Amino acid sequence: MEINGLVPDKKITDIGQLPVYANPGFGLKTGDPRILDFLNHLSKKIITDPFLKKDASYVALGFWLRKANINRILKENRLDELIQEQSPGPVGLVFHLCPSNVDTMFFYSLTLALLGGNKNLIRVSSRLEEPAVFRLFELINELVAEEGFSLFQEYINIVSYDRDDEINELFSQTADARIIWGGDTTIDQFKKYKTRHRVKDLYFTDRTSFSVIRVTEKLRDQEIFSDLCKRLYTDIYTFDQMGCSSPHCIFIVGGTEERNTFADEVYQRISEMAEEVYERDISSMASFKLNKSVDDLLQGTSSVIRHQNNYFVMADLLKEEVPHSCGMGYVYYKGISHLKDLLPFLNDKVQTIGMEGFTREEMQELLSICPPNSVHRVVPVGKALDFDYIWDGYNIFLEMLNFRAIKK
Amino acid sequence: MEFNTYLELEQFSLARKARLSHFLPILNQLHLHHLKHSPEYASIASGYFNRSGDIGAIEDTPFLPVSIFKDRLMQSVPENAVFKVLTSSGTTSSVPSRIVLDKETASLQTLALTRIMNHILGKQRLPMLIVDSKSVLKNKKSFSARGAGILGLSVFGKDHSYCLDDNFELVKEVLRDFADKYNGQPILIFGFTFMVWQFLAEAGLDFKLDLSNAILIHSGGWKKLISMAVDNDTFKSSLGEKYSIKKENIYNFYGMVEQVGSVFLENSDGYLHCPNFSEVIIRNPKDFSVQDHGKEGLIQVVSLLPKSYPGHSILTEDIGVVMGEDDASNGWKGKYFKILGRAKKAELRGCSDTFKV
Repeated sequence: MEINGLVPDKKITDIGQLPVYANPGFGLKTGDPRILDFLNHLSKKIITDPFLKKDASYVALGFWLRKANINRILKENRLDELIQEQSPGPVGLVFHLCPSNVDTMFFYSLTLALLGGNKNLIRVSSRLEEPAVFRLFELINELVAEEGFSLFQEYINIVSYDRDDEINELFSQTADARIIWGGDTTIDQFKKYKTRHRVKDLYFTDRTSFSVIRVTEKLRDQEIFSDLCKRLYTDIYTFDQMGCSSPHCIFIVGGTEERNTFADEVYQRISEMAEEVYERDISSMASFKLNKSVDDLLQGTSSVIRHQNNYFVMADLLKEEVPHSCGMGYVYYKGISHLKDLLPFLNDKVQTIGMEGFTREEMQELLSICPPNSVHRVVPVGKALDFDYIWDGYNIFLEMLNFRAIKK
Repeated sequence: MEFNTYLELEQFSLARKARLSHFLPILNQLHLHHLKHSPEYASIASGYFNRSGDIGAIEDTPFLPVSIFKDRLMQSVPENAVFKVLTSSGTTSSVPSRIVLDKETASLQTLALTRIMNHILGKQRLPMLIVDSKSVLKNKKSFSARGAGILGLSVFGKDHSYCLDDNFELVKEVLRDFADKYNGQPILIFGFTFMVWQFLAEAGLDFKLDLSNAILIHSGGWKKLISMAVDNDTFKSSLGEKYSIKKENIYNFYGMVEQVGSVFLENSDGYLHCPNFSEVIIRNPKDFSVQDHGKEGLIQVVSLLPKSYPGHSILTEDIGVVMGEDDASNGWKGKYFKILGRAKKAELRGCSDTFKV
């Protein structure tokens, strides 16, 4: 058995060597101030780290971990009342399986479980290679080595290993909860392993996401239009458009003519932005997108493809289902007259809708008529990739709690 | 000019103007043929390139991504005209390309390759040494690019000797026998570039192998050798010092299963040279516009041979640069270029691939 320990930083040949298994007791209470203090210290370390502070996704994580934000999560979940009424406590040992496309994802998952007072075993992809994430492991190791935070050594263990059924099952059998981020294939895989009978699993399946934009008079203002394009750019290009919240299709709501003009303008502006700031290798991007375009034409998925600049491709969508794009800035677009024309596209694969130009009432109405288990997030364009504790229909913080009834 | 007449013209003899006046009309006919007979080509030509009629310049020819031949069976002839389907997988990819040939295209390929090879080999068949193992030819259903290269070139040699065994170890006795029989005589050697280096240039022989009249043709790319700091000059001078093989008789060769026949041979300046049947166009990856000479980009290869399948214009995933035209020091006319490498395959990871390897 070969397990690569990242936190703590050492090779492991027997899972019993991991500190999460060292002590059967749970010293931290749900919402324990020491957890907030720990996270706040880590936040400072991240934000001031010369290397990490240059990376937007780590800065975002740093800010998310600040005491004020963590307190917001506790407050929104009415923790004080919960403690009075339902005596919440940790579920126990939580096994997290984290995706490889979003380096920082594991820490969001970890934080929500840690807040409940749970111990955490996190498996990150063995293909992680961005130096930034290793810097983050270093910072965690540094922090738990400090005297005041040594307790957290048995609360946070991060490991990686190559695909290995034996290790997967060992960890699964010892876990009280599993948070499985890996999509459908990984979920199927982990459902096969023996687990505790009471194991609590959270499944994050393969999802796709959209942007929905109403063409309004307001957008004729160049400044407003530019701002919208910037936000749309952020949603599309963050994580190379490979996150489950990354939009794969833009629905444009309005009259036929204004929709087409708008599509032209959006194409123009976003391709310029991508050319200026997106750093992927353009030759491979061009090959990928040409392949996808050809495929879409031959499959009858699209008939008009805007590809004047390979940094961005927009293909019209002829089918009533949104296929997965190849990423790196390849989106489908579809003109519709009314918001309700979106309905046929809303199935249980759809996770996030980034909206522009609609009122809260309109959004709520849309949610009220779409099928259950579809559309778990409606957010403004530009916020598609912002992680929070409510995700894919779960309140992850509450899910990782154990409630007790005490009657006098 | 009729295509058949064009085929007979001396290789590397056409300067830009003459070339264009002959090449373009033939290419246009080919383009129209595929528009009419390959619905996929027609659909890409109109949907992606907005082009559904004549082309006015070579650069206007719609191109297909090379991977389309892996994803789909592309053909421009009726089913009953199919003579054979070439399949070949690259060295790294397991999905093979499938190339539909009718008799006409198959014989055009042979004819074209013969014309190009005769230009450097003369018409006689030379004793041939192959720096590879015969086992690469075993799987008759799907040749590797290596197997296909060996097969294609074997017809220009006789008395073939393979100097590697099934475990890809050098068999020195084969070389010794070959030396006994043919030392100093005109012979043909073929092999993959890195194998020629590893097994021939670096071999420790205790007998004399005299290749002073040999012609060496090698292909497969420089990636491995560059990592060992071996460039074309080192490659040539090492072989020259060891076996007296002349620099001008060493030819790098670039070809692909998607365009069998119209191969590119190295000219005297060390660059790959377009034969009469081919053109190379370098595309700016940003917008697929044509790059000026000297500027790098994705390599598009245009060939007059593929009639049974729409492979006359292909965008490869190789990156290269055109180094000049009509002014090679050995007098060859036409464009010449060099390959800089392959477009990096961006490895994109989705939320759903924690465990995919």
